[in-house]
Amino acid sequence: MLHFDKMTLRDFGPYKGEQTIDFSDRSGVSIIWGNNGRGKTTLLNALRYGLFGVIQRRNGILKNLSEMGNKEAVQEGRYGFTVILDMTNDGDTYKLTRQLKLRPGIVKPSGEEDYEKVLFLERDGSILSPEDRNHELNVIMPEQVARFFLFDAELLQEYEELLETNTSDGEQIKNSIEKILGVPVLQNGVVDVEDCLSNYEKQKSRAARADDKTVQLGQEMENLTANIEEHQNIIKEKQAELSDLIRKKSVLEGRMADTDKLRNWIVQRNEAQKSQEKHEDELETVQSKIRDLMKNAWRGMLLTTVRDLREKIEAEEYALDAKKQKRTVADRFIMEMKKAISERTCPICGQEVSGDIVEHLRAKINESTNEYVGLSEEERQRLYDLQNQMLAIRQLSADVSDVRQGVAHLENRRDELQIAISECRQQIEELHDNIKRYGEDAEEADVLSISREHSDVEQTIRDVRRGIEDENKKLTELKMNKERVAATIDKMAGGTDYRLASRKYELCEHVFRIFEKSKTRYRERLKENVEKDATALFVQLTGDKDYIGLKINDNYGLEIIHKSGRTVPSRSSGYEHIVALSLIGALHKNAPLRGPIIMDSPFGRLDPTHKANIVRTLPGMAEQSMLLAYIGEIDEQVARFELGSHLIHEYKLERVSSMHTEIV
Amino acid sequence: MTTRQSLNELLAVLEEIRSNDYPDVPKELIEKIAMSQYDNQDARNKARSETMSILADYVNRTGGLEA
Repeated sequence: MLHFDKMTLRDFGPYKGEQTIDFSDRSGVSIIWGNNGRGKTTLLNALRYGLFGVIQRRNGILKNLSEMGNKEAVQEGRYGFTVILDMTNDGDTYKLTRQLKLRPGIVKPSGEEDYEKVLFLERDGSILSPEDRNHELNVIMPEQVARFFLFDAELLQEYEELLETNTSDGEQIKNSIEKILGVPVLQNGVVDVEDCLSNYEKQKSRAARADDKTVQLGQEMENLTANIEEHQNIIKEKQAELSDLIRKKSVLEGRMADTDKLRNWIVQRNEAQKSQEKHEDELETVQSKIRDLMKNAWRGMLLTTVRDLREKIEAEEYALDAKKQKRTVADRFIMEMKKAISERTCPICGQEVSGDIVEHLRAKINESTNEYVGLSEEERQRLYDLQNQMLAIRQLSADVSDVRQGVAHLENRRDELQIAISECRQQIEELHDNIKRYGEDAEEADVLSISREHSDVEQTIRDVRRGIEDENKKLTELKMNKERVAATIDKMAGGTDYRLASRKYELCEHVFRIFEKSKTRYRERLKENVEKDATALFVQLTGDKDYIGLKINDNYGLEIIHKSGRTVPSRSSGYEHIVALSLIGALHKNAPLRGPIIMDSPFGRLDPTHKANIVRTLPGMAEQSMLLAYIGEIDEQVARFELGSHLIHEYKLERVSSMHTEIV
Repeated sequence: MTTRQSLNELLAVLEEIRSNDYPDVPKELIEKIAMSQYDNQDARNKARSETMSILADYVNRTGGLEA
């Protein structure tokens, strides 16, 4: 079991000079009190740096490690920093020294390249070789399981992912859980023993081929084995591809989360720009229509005058036209009367026309000829002029009223568009400012391509998973065939070589079955134990009698069980922390790999009762715990009372200056 | 090789399966493979070659399972 005895820092973050925290070799809890900005998270990072050589920032891993050097020390000419961890594990004593220091010959660094990384691990007083050192560190504290030892409130919130299926974060946490629980020991055992099994199987096939009775079956067996190997290799390749894709997806999800706000701004700005362009195009069209209509708008101004003139011309034209019509009718009548006189017969009724009537008709002809004289030459010319004038006036006044209506409608639309364009401009300006201020020089095209890339990766993951399923089906079929052939060979073959090869194969097969069955049973048992231990912790932590326990799923996600037997949906952020802490505590109880728990401000939104419950439970969760808390995050008196004799040390992080904290 | 105390639960499961279903396989062989896998979790190739070598040594020494 890993135990931290003490940690020495030199110019690391705000810890100027050399400062040491003695965790003691005793079991129990140490509390480190410090207000915001004093260096609680830096202490967590010092442990992370010591063990894994990385420094975690809120926005990811710190790339330029030299930034972690104490700023006042730099002003005094001291560059770089050192973390020394004194620890014990399973009876061995370790001293781990990790340092970032200036390269020989460099006095004042100009960049990261002027620093070198130094790492030593002493075990029981002897410095280990780089290979042994890396192996030893990987065994006592693999980075993959660090989340169960070093964590803060944000990390606790991530365990919610385990309740979902097929999320890349959930899959990563599940793998970490299985890693800390030791499942890979059996998993890898199965894979490696299966490889041995395959070798012994080949020996068996060769022996069968050498036996006269089973030559053909031996050959068939070899072919099937080769075929199976081929499919197994395809599955391995696909699984490796799947792991890479899941990692890639996780990285993309991280980048998506980091750039979420920025991406939304860029998308909104682009939409606003498109909208502005669309409005501007429409405005151009509307203005062009208004211009066209306004070309003829002067006609509207003349409309009344034109109407008066038209009425006058129409009246005169009507009078002249009527005069012309009367003459035409009179001419026809005179012609008929003249015909009646000359033929002495009425052209209408055919009766004879007498002399009296002839005289009367002659008088009428004279009368009509005098009365309906028709148009004079001057009047005909006048009528012709009037008709031309009417034609011109009609053309002049055509559509004059529609123009006015249309212009009014278009002017309204023009105003609306101008307002919309102005709003778009304002929105674009604001978004542009936001993007510039918070975009941190990120390439816009990169930011936008992340979600596209993410959905491509998701699709490929689905395809690869389907491919693995198909390959597994083929593999099962081939294995069944092989078993049938093997059974036939066993019955037929009788040579010594074959019997010897069979005995070797069977032993290996039994070893394989032991590992395979154990893997399944160990997993089941671990789940039962984790569920049981997490439930016990949860009941202590929550104190709510309505909640009777936790139920584990295949991902090691834990659901709260109500006394009615139902699971509790949509739990609060506070309860999420309690469930996560229960899981971590249960993992520490069941894992082959054990070590201290270091929690940075883990209480989040918890109320005082739950905070006290957590503090009380802490000594039972791990042999050694360290609690980093800000003053007031938990009541000092309550912490001391609840921890009692389990409280080993209390440290305070005291401000000397904004860049200098002392551990006292 | 020292058995890490914390590996007991895992070894217990292996032993449970071995003693009930495959008593013809020696306990030490299974433990040796499990310990090698545990100690070489960060070195897959080493774990694989050690496992193969443990099995080969035993098989060559004993000739495999009794007929």
